[in-house]
Amino acid sequence: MRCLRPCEGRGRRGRNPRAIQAALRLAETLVAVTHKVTLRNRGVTFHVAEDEPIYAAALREGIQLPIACNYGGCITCAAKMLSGKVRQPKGTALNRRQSQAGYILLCVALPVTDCEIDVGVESHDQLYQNPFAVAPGARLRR
Amino acid sequence: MSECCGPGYASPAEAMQAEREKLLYTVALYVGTGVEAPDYLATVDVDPDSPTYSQVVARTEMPQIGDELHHSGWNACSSCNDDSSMKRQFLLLPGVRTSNINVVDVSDAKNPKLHKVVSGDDIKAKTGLSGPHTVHCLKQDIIISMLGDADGNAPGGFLHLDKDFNIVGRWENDITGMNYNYDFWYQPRHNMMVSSEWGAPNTFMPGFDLEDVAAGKYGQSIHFWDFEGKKIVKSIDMGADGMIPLEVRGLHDPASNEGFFAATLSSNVFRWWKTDDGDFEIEKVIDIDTIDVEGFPVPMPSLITDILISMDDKYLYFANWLHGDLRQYDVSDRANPKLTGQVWIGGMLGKAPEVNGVKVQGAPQMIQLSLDGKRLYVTTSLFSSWDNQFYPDMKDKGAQMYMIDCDTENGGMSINPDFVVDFGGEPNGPSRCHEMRYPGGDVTSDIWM
Repeated sequence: MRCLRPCEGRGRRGRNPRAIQAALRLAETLVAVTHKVTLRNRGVTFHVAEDEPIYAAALREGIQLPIACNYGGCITCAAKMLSGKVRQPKGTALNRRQSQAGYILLCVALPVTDCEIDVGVESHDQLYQNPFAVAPGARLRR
Repeated sequence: MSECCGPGYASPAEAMQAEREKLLYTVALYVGTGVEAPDYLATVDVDPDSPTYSQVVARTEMPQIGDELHHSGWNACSSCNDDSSMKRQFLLLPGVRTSNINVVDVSDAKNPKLHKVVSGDDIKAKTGLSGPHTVHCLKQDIIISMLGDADGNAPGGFLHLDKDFNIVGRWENDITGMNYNYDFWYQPRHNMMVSSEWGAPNTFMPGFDLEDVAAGKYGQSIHFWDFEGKKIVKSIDMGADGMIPLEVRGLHDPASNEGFFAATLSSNVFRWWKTDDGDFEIEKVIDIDTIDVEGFPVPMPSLITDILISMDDKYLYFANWLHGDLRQYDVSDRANPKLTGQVWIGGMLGKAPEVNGVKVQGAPQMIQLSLDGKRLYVTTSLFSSWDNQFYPDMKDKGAQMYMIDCDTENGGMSINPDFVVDFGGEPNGPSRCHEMRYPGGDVTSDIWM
């Protein structure tokens, strides 16, 4: 779903054309594109703006998810994407194997489409690997 | 404790005569456990005459979730013993992942209170550093090794705080030659400091990957400093023998200018010393062999994750976190350590899956020795993401603390059968316990000038 979230609670500014144009420009900057994000294993759905990290949006909804570095460097906030697409500017904590398994970093993940995600350590079943349990040839570079 | 003086003890020999420890502090973590709550400082009763012996008797919660409390350090130690204006009142608890430095007031030793938080965001903005690790006091100042720049990349540097925990800036003048940062030990009498290398926060925080080792993203050098000049004067690249050098310990006798450190991944112990002509040398003195374990295609190193020296400088102790043993070596002959004791607790070799009625999660990791050298406390958690790789059940069952009785006359170690603190039973859910400190100072906190 792609929807518009207009600025709420603002009344008309009068009939002056300049004022109307200014109000329209203001409204334009305040309009945000949002997407529906579902935390499947928590049974909740909320809207997240395209420029808002999913972690921050969940917290705004009163949902405390795992968090630590808050800049995409430490993996604590990792969650498993079931469907959808995100951008992760500055996210460095996931290697190729983890990304291919569907993991994203919620502290920097910005929704590009509607998303369905499993969150919390209960979603980490494929996140970690004992490095000595993996044959050298089977490893993938980060 | 000395009367009419500053904190700590006049000498290591005096410290050894101190009253037996009655309380012990350890950090306890919820990072990566599924409990979305802040980490905390746990106060453990270690007085065998107390009705709450071997129990957590106080929990001091940090204000922010996700710190990953790790190591800790005092605002003042025995280096200020001659300064009656100083007091060992504050324990600094850095959060590796948030870069916050939590300062706890232990005036009421049984009920520590949060005093102040030095914000990680402020530290990044004012110094360009992140990832705080080792805390040492330097007379009225405090320096903290920082493992990354503000974006979590190498090489980091050293943060300087004043005695009121205000950010002064960066401590060092020149880190040329330092690829990464980790632990450090200093000895002003010899104008020297030694620092070691782990990796950049962005490398080690997500977990341990052998591909990162192959790509040179972990350290293998040790650095010797001109302490007054705050600059590195010699770096030694140890190659494959010295991969991931972590804890650096100096002998406690301030007249000595030598010590030991362990290369964690290579699982070797090195001796370091300053020569008569002012040069610095190292030599490998202990080499723990890898073990082929069924189901693991890569030979398993012991992974020496912590090491310490007894207050009388006679014994060296270290933990092998993957193999699962704790070792005691007599280092009276510094260049030829002699194995005198060994116990098994947990570990991946399956030699001691249950100890004192508790199924062990993890293996010997952080260690702390009593001032008289007779009791070695050990915790089993290393670092949340690394725990989750090697010992994934720990996140659901918590880590443990044990005590080892140490024979200081003839050598030898045995697990005390009456002491176990199972952090799997914590009231807010299982947590991970890591580094430990005694209220009055211990063998890894205090330095004599």
